[in-house]
Amino acid sequence: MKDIGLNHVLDQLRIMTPYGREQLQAVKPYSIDRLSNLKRVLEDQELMISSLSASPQIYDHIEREFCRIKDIKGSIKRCKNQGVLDDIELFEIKLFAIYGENIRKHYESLDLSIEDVCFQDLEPVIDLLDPEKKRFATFSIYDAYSDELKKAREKKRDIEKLLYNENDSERSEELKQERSKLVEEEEQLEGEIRIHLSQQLQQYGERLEENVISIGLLDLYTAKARLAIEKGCSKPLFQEGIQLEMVRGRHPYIEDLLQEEGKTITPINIDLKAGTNAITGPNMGGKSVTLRTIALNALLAHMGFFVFADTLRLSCFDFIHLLADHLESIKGGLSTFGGEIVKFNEYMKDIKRSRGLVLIDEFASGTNPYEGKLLVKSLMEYLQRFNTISVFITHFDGVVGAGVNHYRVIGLKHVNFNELIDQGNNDSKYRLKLIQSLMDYRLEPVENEENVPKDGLNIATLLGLDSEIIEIAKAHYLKEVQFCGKETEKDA
Amino acid sequence: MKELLDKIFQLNSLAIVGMEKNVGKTTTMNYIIENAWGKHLLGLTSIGIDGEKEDQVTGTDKPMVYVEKGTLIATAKSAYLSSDLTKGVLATTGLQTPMGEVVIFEALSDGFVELMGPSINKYLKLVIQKLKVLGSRLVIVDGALSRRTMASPAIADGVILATGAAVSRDMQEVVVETAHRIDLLQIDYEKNQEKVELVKSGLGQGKVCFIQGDELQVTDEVTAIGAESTIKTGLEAGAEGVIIGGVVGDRLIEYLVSQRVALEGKVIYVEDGTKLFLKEENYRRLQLKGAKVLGLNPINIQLVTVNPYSPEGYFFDSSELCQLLHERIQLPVFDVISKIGVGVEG
Repeated sequence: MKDIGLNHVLDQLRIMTPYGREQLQAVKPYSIDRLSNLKRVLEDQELMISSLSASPQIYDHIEREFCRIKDIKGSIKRCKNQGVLDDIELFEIKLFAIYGENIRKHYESLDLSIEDVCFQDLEPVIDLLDPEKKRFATFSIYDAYSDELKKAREKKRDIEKLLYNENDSERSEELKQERSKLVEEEEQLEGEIRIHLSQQLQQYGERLEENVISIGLLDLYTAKARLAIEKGCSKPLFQEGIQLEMVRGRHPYIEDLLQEEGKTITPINIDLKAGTNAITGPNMGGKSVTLRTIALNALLAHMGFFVFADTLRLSCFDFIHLLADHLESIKGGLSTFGGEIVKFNEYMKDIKRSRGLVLIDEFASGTNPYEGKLLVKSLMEYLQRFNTISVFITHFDGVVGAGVNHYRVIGLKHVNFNELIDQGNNDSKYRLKLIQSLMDYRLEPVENEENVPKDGLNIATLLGLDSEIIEIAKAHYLKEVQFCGKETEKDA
Repeated sequence: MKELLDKIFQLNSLAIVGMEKNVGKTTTMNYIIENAWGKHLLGLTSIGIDGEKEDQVTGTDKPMVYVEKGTLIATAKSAYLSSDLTKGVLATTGLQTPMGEVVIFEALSDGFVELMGPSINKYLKLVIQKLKVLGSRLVIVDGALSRRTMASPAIADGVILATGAAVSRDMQEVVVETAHRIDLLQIDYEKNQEKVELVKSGLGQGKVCFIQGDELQVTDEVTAIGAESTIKTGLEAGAEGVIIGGVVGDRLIEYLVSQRVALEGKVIYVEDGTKLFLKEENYRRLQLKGAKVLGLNPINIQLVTVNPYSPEGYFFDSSELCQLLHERIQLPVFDVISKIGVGVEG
């Protein structure tokens, strides 16, 4: 699932705390039996987005606290397990409690109730570690903990003053010995206080852990909300029945790439039904991108994310499978084809026992076209009977049977090739960019199997394929009466 | 000495390094601390040891310094725990060392602290910065001139070099070796801004690089050791300079000389003088052949301290030693035991 661009999206989440990162790692697609949880997560996301838009300053305050949060799960664990904490662990717990209290107060002012985000009151923890009530972000075993300790330290200080002014080395040594004894006494008393503090803190171990989770979730949800706002994402709508309807869907990775070049992505509309769906069209027509746009948005929806589309209505799928060949691979041939068959068999197991989404990119393109076409046609016919939504991309002609939900990329349908080919410019890069700029990536539903526009030869001509070859091909074309689909547009 | 000390306390950071063990580096440190007592708030840390356990077992200096209440210290967690003063934790840094995370604390009483700081330049810089932000007037870094450390005293504004009888039984030798070490530490640094950027970029590659005009050519060699023939080839092919990120030792120089590589006008760039481990004769040979060695980061030696006593029992006449040194190196020299110096008047 990695090559559909999921990581590109996840990498853009601005997560601030180590706990938030953990929560992100733990994100998985929800299964159908947890649909109500998924819906709740999406609703909470919606609330968070409006909250974020309404009170950005509060979120800034929270973010500032998030930046200070360190991973202290080790210290908390020791705290819960009756370990004796050292100064550094006590320091970390104290700071965590101070920052945690700040976060709690800010969160409560937002008046949200996000599921599982529940901050416990850590004031008692701070009080334990701040007997002088100064609320400084520092820690030491304070005098205030024990009078005995205070006295021992005063005695030690007196000796240190004498030591500082003492020049006689013998006397210095004596003083140093006395001081050592007091140091021992001080350390003994400090040790007792640490044991006592650790015991007192143990009861708050669970509160600390709950706050760890709450901070992590709040961090993750805030990051998701920010991304959704920034990228104009919408809440996916899970419905009964078997469908996937996407209005103005985009692929976030391609969108970002195009934006860097100053271009905008062409959003895609599509309405998929149970059984077989097909998308056909010319090469370079963005079919593969469309397939991945569907896959990525469906997956994001199942993971509780807002999607890159104006609307996405879908069922909760038991599985989402993408069967995409490495079309660029020169190897091709039986080995790739064999791999496809093996993978497909695995998917069939899922298809037979539950309902899901299967996306298949150019199946059987690695074997001879005659058999390839037959196989694709058969597959498409076979999958019609299942509850799974299967989406085929194919450049084969005449494989889309009746009853299959058929879309085609508009492509270069409306382009006047003759005009273009006559244009002087011979630079192939320029020509490539020209094709890309003229390509209409939108999908249109196909009512019946019309003749597939044969743009292959035109594209080849435009890209500068030797005119002699073009002439030979044209001659063959004219001879052909019924044979469809010369694979001239297929890149080696 | 007062004016010199005033000047030192104006610096942001000061590194104290020693020629050897037992040259009085810790005594020097304590001396500076004593002179700050009651006057300047100090921050203390050290360049950590980045090596096998043996170094720690054979006792490469783990200084215990006596500090004034209020001093800020950055040290590894285990060293924090074994420091015997009343202390308060101010910050954790997230920087790991073999002895634990570096923590920053305040001395709440006078007492002894153990210094074990970070061993990487980047981290050391962060720690020094943090100590300054927390209010230190001067940050003192207990340094090291070892091949093993990746962090360099050059990161500090000023350096004090400690030397002494422990260096050699022969007083002349002490002078010669100390002077040589100072020559290496105080190599010229590149002043041309464009070249500086190029060298920085080269050092950032983590590999030996050549400079040709304003272009950088990166090789596959990570250190100079083993890269001798690559360096020879590059220089002979016309490279004006070679950038070496790690230690530059005698082996390379002896190789280049024995192979009669034309070195006139060529430059060897190193991070700073602490990376040069060259015998005096090899350094001289380089210079005779017209080659230059330039550092990226200058090292400013403020003072050289001397311990005229050796742990083996012999000692030198302090004023004679200080005088000889001063004449040779033209820097202030100070005996930290007798508290007498030469050339230390501001």
